[in-house]
Amino acid sequence: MFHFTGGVFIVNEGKFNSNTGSISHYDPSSGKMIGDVFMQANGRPLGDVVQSMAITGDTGVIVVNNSQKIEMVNLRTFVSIGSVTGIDYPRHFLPLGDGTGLLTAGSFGGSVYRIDLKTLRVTDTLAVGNGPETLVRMNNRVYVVNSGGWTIDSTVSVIDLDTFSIIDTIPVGDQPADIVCAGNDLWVLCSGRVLYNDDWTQVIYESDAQITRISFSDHTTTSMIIGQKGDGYNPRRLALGNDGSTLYFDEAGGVYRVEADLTTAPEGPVIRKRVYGLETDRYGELYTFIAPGFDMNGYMLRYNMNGMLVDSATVGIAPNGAVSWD
Amino acid sequence: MVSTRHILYHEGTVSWKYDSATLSRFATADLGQLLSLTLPYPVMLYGPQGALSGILLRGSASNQTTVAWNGFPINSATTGTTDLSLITPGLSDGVSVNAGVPGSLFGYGNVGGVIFLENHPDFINRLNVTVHAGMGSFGTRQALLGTKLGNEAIQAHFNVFSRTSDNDFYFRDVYKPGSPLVQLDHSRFRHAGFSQGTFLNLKGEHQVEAGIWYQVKEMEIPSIMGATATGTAFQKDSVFRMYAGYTRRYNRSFFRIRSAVFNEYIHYTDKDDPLDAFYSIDSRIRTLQLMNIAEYRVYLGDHLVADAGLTAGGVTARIQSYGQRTVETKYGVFTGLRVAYPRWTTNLTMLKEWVTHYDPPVQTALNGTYKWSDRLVMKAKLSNHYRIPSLNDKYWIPGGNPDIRPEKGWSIDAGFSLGLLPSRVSHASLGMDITAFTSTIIDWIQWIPGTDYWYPENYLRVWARGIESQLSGHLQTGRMKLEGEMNYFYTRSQNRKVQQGDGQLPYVPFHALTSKISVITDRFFFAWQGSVTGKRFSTADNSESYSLQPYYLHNLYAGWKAGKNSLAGEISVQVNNLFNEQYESIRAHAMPGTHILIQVVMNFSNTRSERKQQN
Repeated sequence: MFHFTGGVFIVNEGKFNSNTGSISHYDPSSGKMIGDVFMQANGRPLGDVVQSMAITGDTGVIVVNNSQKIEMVNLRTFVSIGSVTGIDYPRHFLPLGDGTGLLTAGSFGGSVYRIDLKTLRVTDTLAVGNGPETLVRMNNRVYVVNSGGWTIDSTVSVIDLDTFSIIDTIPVGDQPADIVCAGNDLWVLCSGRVLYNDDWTQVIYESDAQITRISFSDHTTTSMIIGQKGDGYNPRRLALGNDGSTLYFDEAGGVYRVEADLTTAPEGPVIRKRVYGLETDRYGELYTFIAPGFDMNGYMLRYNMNGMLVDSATVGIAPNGAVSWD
Repeated sequence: MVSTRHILYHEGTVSWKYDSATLSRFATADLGQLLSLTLPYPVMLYGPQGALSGILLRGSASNQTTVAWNGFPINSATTGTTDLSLITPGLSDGVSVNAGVPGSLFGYGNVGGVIFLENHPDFINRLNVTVHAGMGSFGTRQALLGTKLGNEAIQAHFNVFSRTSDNDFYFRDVYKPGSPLVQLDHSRFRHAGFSQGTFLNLKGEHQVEAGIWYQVKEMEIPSIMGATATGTAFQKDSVFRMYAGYTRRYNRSFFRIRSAVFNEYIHYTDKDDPLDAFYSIDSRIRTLQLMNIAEYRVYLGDHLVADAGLTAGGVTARIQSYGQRTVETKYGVFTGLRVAYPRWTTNLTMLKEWVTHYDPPVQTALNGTYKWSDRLVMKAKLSNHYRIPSLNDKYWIPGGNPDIRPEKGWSIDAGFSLGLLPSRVSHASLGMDITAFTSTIIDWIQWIPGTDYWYPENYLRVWARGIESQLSGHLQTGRMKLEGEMNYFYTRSQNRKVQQGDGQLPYVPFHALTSKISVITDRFFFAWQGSVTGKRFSTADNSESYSLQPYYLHNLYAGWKAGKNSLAGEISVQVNNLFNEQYESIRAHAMPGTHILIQVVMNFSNTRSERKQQN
């Protein structure tokens, strides 16, 4: 029986079509890593392709993509307290603090579902762009990146929470994959896109990876190119330092750092490793996740603010991120 | 008809040949079901009957075992695998599983072995009509009509079959809260087709053969266990295969030339949401293969046989993910020498091929037997093997690598067959066969995840070794025959480059056992069949969390035979998974509990009456 009081929950996707997705628990103070806490607490596997996890109060909300569900757990014991099932291609959950939350879903035309965590029901649905992924809240608005999913997109949908309707669609770079916010700003990591001709012999269109900064007040944008055409890498992870003024992102050479005002070029790589997941905590430490394959366990590498390796541990299959419970 | 090369040079290989009674009993099943119920080799079943299945011979992968139809490999040119659920045993006169067949015999690229599906004529036959009709659990309906007509100069065979099942069985979903009893949904399949064979025997000197095999299978692919939404994937497979051959026999030699054309089409679709009007995946694959073989064999005295031949063929594939129409060609030259004396036999075979972008080394095999006594025969084999990457490995966009290296290695087998009863005992037999093997596979290709897409890499270095053992016997008492058989396999198939764990390849059990006891009389037969599949890992790092525990299956068959002279019939009942074992062949893929099949077989043959007249 677990009695967690904090720590970091690591999201391990697992191997597709095998129900090997899991959550690992890491205690930064002791360095203790516990694998597959859901299985240990509930006596059954969590599901297939665990995509993400969010925290609201003492409840964890885990999005299990290929099991078409979200699973709620008591964070102290990690015992399941319910689930919402039958949702096609769920991706990320944003708690709203009032016992409800928003869930992005869809690999082509996407949707945002409003879910009541007490009744475990979908209470509202809103169509957004293609392949919605992460979403953040600023005041009474929610910003959703439309990554394109299995097709293309280059927008961020803005939802008014009072009316639960789209009030703006902001053009950003191609294939926006991740979003963070602080103060009056939001930052969107855009992976960039490569398009081939019909017989796949020529690249007919290629755009750079970039970070787009959005002003909350008027939705104006500024962008900075962070990748290189032809490097064959499309970044997907963005994290905000605890000072709110530093961004970390993954690129071909590893993990890079850039000032949030996007006026100076990125520096790095601060970590020379290609990562599958990237997170920061409120102490300024950086957590990276390595997936050597989809049929073997991955690794967590934890770095301090100066880029020095502090700890490492084995986690589950294909770790893609983490969430801290303070 | 002349013997094929794998029979001529068979010493040192392990062969499991199904008798006519077993083939009749499983005539309307699929080959994956037949193998999984009868052999200790792991058969990967991705679901109930009709679902994708493949076999892992001697710790190799499913694309390293070849399935050959009348001498021509039917493995997919795009993936290199053969879906055993697409093969209906009733279309063949002979089915055998042969582990350790050297690659030098046919150039199939086989590492683990070869499954042979063969049609051969019986020129004594005049008319033979067989009807199989079966009905079973979960909406299972199976039927096969087979006819054989001819005389001593010509034989024409024709089979037509149909199989369908709803597969809507209940299973305990251990991946859901409370492990509820759940009914499998979206798992229906339909499979129908025909085969035709023509054999001409002209004065014993000229033999002509030709065959056609056409079939279509449509399958709903269910969600995995634990899923909370109904599956939406669907696959249609259709194949048209045709072959023809001519043999000219001389006094002590023969020349044979054979050609085959295979036209195959796969259409796979899936949807994000069942209500979507469009497909999220809509994949169409078309391939056309042409194969030609010419061989000459000469019998030099009583102890020496030699042969040589040429192969030539090609494949063309039209697949959107290849970007353009893809064409590859393959040529080869082979030779063999057999020296056979009463006490010992030795075979040497060699093959050299040239394949688009590849220049394989000469494949060689040296195998033979030594008869120590009337009851003890020792055997050994040494060979190298070589497998050309599949079209997907080379051309899939994105990820495919035209320069990826082929898989290669070598293998050694050694063993013996021992009769445990004196040969003077005529009404009983008891024997054992033990074979130890060791095999390396270097540059084993595996698709691994890159930053944005998967790609194939020469990722593994595998050392497979083990022991295959069999104990079998029979006892005839009056009109009753008692048969028994037990097979035990130990297989250690280890990836030597693994970074975590002990490296046992996923889904290869360390231990596997099958056993069978049959009672047969003139009018009645009964058989109990049991199998134990040992613990398996489902991940490359052998994580205990995702291992699959051993499972035990028991099956019963009972039947009554009636009729005499030219008309005979049989009604049988099969009870599979008698004790309702809940198991997973592949992790998170539901398998049925206890289920039954009732089958009626009617056979009309005038061969028996004609033979009686001759007697």
